[in-house]
Amino acid sequence: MPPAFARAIEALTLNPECFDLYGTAKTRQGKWNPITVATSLFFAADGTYGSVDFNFTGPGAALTTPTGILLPSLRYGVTGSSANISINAPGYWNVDNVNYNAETLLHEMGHLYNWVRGSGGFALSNFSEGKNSGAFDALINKDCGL
Amino acid sequence: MKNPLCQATICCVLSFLWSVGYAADCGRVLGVDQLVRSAPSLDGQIVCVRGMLPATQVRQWSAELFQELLPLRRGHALRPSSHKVGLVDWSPETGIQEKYYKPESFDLLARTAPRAMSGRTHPLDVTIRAAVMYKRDFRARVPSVNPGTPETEAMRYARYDVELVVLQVVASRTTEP
Repeated sequence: MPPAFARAIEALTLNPECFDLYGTAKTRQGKWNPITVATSLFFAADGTYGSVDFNFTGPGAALTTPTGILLPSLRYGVTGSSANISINAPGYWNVDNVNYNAETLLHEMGHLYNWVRGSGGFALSNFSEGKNSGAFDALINKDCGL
Repeated sequence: MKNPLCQATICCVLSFLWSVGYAADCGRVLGVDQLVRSAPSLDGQIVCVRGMLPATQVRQWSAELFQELLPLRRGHALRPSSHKVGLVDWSPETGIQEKYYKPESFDLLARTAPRAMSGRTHPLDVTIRAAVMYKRDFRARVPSVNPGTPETEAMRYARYDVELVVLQVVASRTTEP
């Protein structure tokens, strides 16, 4: 995790367009600065925004789900007070270079922004992957240089 | 600060300030029955409502879903009210200005809600600030989550004449004995 986390932070720091994918100008000023969120999730693991584990065994590289206090939402289906990122360790983690792992972290952090109320959301809706399964990956690769 | 009179005075002052703040924050607080009766004339307005907030456990996600507000139980009422109102979180699609939305206030629910995995489901006694929606059928517009859970799917099919766009949690306490 540390090398992937460091690469994700580097991508957020060096690419303003990557930084701006997460939240709104207003939410990034406060609690939802994406560097703060990534550090809390992937380094400090302090539970402020959610949790991360490597227990996902379903299809795909990872799954992020809302947790805590849920409410119905016209935009997202449901919103939570936090989210859980579960990574498919055997199939998708450390099978490629560090950029691939960093992209997985930033991708799932995008889903977390969409699930958790008050974050301002990610640049793409979670539903965009229903139409194009590579939508998140393409945008993060382009704007974050991964 | 060892003088009991002094302590009592401070308690009174704090209590007064809290109650003034509470009233100033909310003004008039409606009950659920009152809200349902007045909903046609309150459509689109922001009000404060106090009611009982039951939790639906979503074990798959270690979460609790709050989707409707019920009247508070009053003593030994012979005929408990059957009124209920649907809840929807704020988003731009609700048509309500974002400046009224205070998402950080929802932490009050997390602090008072029973733990999802504990198997206890005591409802909360809450006061919320919300926009009243009368016969707008917002719940029919809630998209399906993928992958969803039985609880989130069932929530999409619940229908209410009166719905509230939840903007702020003003107060919350557990009804657990």
